[in-house]
Amino acid sequence: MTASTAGFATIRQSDGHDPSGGSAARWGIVAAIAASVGWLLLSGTAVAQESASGFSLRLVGTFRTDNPNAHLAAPVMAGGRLLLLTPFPHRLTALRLGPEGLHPEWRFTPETDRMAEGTACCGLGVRSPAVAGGRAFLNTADGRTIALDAASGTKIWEMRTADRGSGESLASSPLPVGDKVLIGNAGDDFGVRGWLKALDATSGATLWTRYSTGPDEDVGIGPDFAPFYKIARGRDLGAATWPPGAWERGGGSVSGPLMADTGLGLVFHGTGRPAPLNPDQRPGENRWTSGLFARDLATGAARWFYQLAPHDQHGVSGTGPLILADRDWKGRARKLLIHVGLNGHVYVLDRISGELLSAEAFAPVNAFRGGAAASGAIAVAQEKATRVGATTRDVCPAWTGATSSEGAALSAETGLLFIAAARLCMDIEIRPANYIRGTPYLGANVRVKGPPEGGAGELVAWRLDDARPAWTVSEPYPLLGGPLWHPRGFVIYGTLDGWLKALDARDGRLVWQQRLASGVVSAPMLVRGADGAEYVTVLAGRGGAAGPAAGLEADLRDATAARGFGNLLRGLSAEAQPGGTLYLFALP
Amino acid sequence: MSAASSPPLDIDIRHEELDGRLAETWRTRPGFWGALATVDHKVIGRRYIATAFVFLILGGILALAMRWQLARPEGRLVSPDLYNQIFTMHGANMMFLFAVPVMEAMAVYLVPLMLGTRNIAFPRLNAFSYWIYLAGGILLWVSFALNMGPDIGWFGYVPLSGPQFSPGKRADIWAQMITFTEIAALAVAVEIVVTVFKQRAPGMTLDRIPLFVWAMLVTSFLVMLAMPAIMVASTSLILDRLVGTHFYNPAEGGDVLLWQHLFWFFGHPEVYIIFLPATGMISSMLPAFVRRPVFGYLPLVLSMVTIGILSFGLWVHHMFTTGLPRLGESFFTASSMAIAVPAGVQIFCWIATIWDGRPVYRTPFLFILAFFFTFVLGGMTGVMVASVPLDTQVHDTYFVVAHFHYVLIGGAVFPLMAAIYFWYPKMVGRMMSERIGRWVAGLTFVGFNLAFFPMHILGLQGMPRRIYTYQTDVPWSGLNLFVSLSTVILAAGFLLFFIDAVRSARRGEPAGENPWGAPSLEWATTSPPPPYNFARIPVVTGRNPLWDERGDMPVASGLRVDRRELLITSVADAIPEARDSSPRDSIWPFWAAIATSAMLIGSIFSPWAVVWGSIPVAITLVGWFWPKGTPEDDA
Amino acid sequence: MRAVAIAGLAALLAAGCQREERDLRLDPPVTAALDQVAPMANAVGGAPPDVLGALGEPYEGNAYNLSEGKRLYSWFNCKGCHADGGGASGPALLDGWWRYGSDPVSLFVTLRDGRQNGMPAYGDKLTTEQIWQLVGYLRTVGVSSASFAAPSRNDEMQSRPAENRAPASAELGTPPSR
Repeated sequence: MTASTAGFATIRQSDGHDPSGGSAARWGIVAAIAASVGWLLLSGTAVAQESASGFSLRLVGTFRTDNPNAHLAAPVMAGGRLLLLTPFPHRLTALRLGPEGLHPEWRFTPETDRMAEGTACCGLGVRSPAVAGGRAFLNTADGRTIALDAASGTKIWEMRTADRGSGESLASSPLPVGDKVLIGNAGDDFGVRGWLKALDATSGATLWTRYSTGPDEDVGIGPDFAPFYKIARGRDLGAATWPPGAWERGGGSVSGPLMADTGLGLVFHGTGRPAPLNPDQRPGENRWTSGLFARDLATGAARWFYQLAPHDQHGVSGTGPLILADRDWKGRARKLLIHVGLNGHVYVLDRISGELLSAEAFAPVNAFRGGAAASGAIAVAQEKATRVGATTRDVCPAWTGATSSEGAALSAETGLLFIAAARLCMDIEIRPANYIRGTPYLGANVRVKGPPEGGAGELVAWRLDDARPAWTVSEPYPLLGGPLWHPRGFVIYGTLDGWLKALDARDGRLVWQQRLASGVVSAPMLVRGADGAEYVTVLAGRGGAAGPAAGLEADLRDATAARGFGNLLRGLSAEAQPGGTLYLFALP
Repeated sequence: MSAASSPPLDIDIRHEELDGRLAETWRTRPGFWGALATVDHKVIGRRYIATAFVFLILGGILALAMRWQLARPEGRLVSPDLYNQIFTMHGANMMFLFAVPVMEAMAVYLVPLMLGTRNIAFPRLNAFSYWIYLAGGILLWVSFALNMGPDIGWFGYVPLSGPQFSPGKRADIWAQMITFTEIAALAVAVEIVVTVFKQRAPGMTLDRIPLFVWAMLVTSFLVMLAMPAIMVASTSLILDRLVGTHFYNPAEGGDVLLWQHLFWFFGHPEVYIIFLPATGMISSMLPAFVRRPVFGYLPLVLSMVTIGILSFGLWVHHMFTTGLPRLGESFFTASSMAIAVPAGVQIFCWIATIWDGRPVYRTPFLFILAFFFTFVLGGMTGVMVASVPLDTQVHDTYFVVAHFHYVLIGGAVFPLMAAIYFWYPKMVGRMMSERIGRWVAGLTFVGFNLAFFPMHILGLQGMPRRIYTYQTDVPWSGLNLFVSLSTVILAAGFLLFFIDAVRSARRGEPAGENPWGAPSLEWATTSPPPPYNFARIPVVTGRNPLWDERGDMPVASGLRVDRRELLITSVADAIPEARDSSPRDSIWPFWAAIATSAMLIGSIFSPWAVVWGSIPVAITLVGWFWPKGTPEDDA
Repeated sequence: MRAVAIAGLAALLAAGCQREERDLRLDPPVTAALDQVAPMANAVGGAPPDVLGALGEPYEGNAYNLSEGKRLYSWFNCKGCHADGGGASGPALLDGWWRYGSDPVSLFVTLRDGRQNGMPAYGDKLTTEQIWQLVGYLRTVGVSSASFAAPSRNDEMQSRPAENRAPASAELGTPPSR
């Protein structure tokens, strides 16, 4: 996979019309040449490019963190301040933003248990803190949940919520809702047992814990459980669909986004893939992993469950983006749950009943055939099944996922779902896995590679009602961040090789781009400053040669390095300036 | 170059001077360098035979060590790692360094004599073949002494012999030893084919060729067609281990069964490469001991050719337990049983020969009788294991060990010992002891059957192959002890044989030209033959020349005596076509063998050795072929 | 000439012997002595124990022990964090940069006791001999020249050239930033 020159991206529309005519194309070519020379000469500073439509972002200020790891946590607004959380070892900085730029107001540095660097599967980044009721809640990679006063940064409480010794960590954002804070753990790679916890927002005490595997009372399967698909009904399926005892290290971590519908009183979340990756060591459907749960907000009792991949053979997991939308679906008004699956499909479900309404592929997929089985799940293609001792080649999608957990944004007005996609395939060889507490429990050698044709990344504008892409923009590297939809009709996203791009949302035409100091693995955010003006913040900092999949010291001569990305990212150019840089752009 | 206007031909020389002039032209220079540089097929053949028997002794000692270890349960004589090396060395040594080379060596010595020519074709290649063979043998045994002996079985199956499960250089030594011995065997095979087709005595049409020569002709074709398979296999194994190719790595598209197919495609013809020369020897010896020509010359020839062709269609019977499709396995059962038919034809022809003759019970004949009994028994167990269900039960047990020792020792070693007793007088000029010979025949026959017959029972009782010991609670200990003690008898027989061979060289009864009264051409010259074999090339009018022409033999004359010259005849009817020169002694084959050995041994350690090592090889080949200005250069 | 030949043969003997030795079980007193390493105060480097020196560093040049080390590398989940030497959440072992020291004693301490930045302790999961086998193997991964005893490729998916091809022998790149 070689980098295309200077990031000039090809544009395709689904109705065949080629938009690249006239001045936009000429400007685009000039932009490409200028950008490729320009960023070399002016590394670290902006070389903005205007287009005929006049859209451009004006750089107002930057703020550098001195943390060289992958920056996954887009900053959040809290009372006029931007809260920026660095990857582990964490530091939370509150920045005032204004026309003059960004000024740090206070900093909070939690205690760190450095041993946690050994249990972070996918880089040391943690997703953004959450703010509610004047408090900021953050998860740390070494397994603590901390509540701070959002104005002053003083700690209110700190609880050790994840058991680092068994390989658990925290990777996703907490969800404050009402008087609770919901958190989910991470660590499928280490064979942890996934859970969702509710903490008391004032004191941090654990109110309830619901697991992703095990007997019904641990999972929260009770009289209220009414799954749409019959196959999810039965006693203690969280243990019965596993070999004896295997559910105790069965994975299913809740490391993706949590979404609450306070009107229905439900919280929706995905469960991660089962552990180990070697499917022959865990025969059975492996409930309740690689699926989507709807739980009661108050008690955590399960309402329905939809399994995306029973007996997951490809590391699918259910930790992709979740979006709640109330829309008409095929003529009826319905409450929808949109899940952009890491297996490359857009799932649309009815979030009240758990019925699958649509599941269509947005990325190249050959491991799954179309058509839902009786369980509602998409059938696995037999020639891409994985077995111990065998190497299955060219399996699409790769186990690293067709998107990231914050990789989608919905524009309700236009009905377009923008997806930052990774079009990847893999060669996967299944080996026997040994469970040793605190060490990885995988059982696979994986080489990730690009798709048979096209770029490894793509910005997809997905037409929700038709379940088809409206247009797509190809990228040479997988998109590991997320898109930002601006109501004025633009989509803004950052790429792994350090470009910040703005596209016209109607047709995907590139209207503006700028080279950043490093690659982007989070989503840009739209914030309003104290002066009432709108700003776009972008956090750059991809964390080294192999991005967030690896620590800093990855040697890409090994094709299985960095979760298999070693194979794919060898051509990635060096960062202009390693480390995290927060950019603040003013909108015109 | 003679000063006379016409070169001196043997017709121009007076009879008394002819031997002297020919000896002058054909003799090997005396001394150390002369011995290294000789191209006389008899010198090289004797060397080859002696070296092969040294390897037989070494391999036999390994066998005795194994039997001592297995005599009692929980034996402590050798560690498991050393035992693995011992059984691998025993098998590889016997198959690659003894069995095939000794048959080739007997052919190197006898075929030119039997055909009535002066030297084998490509004599310098013949010398090179011996040195390469010796180097391969030294490589294997020195590495065994250095604790680097291969431990993967004589067949080296992957994945055990592959890079993951065989650390170190042991398996590479094995694979490269194969290269050495295959080069040597291929060289001799080529020489034999050319000698048999183009250098026969005038009048020796195809249907007058001695049966041993027919056997060696068919064997040579087997060698040329089968050896490449194992060279491919061993080379790709070395590449997998040294360079990291994936021929046998299923995870990257290779196949483990590929090894078995390649190996056994060679491995089955290999055992016929060992067996067919033995049948030829039997056919060539029998007339002397029953005082009549062999019965069924044409069926015997066709049987040998049929065995040769059919032997390429049997190899999967070594793979019956690997999960191949049943239809394919049935085919190989059928062909494995079918090959018993031509073998049976041969046996019946020999029985008819004896039936219709007047047997002379001398030592070689006793060994031939031992061969009949032992080989037929082994052939019967062979037909048994050709059946898939039976083989599935006894595969990798001592039943198979018993079977192949019966066919190998019965079918090859006993005829070989008969041959040694028979042709020793011709090679050395003295008879071996008849009295000790009877003891040898008796001890080896009895010792062999007592040692190996119980192994059938042990195999049916479930004793697996290649185990270094067994527990006290399995019912094998009694029979194992019996077997081990019986091998002492067998060893005693061999010991007497070697003592006799060494003693008789000095103190044996002098043999005349034809002590056995045999009919073939090698008996028409002195014992041992002079360097030029025959003063004048004999002319043949029948299958048994010495019996057809009682008294004086017709000869062809007109060859030069001032240079090494021999007669080239046509392929089918042996009509003289040309006089060809035969190369003089040369030290270059020795140097070429050294250079090749260095390159091959270096490539065990680094692939660059092939690049750098080919330079000395090229230099020695240039030296080999450079014209020397001798009379032989004007061919 | 004779002396040279004898010396050469003796060297060959020693080299061949050491590489091909297969010690399937260490004597317990030797194992106990191999556990007595004395690292310096900052846990980098340290004096090798006398026993290790007397044994002639068998874990460096012995093919069987190196192949056992390679097997243990897969079996004890090293690949989950370090991939096949390329690194993932753990640092790369292939690039020749060693955070806590590359000498055998430092590696032994790293494996047995763990390190403070996330390396788990394996002293309670592996025997002393197995840790030394792993140490020997690791020292064939990030090297600039291969030894004849280094293991060759496994019968697995190919990730990089095998240790006996010296995959790290390209020049060292820039050191990692921490």
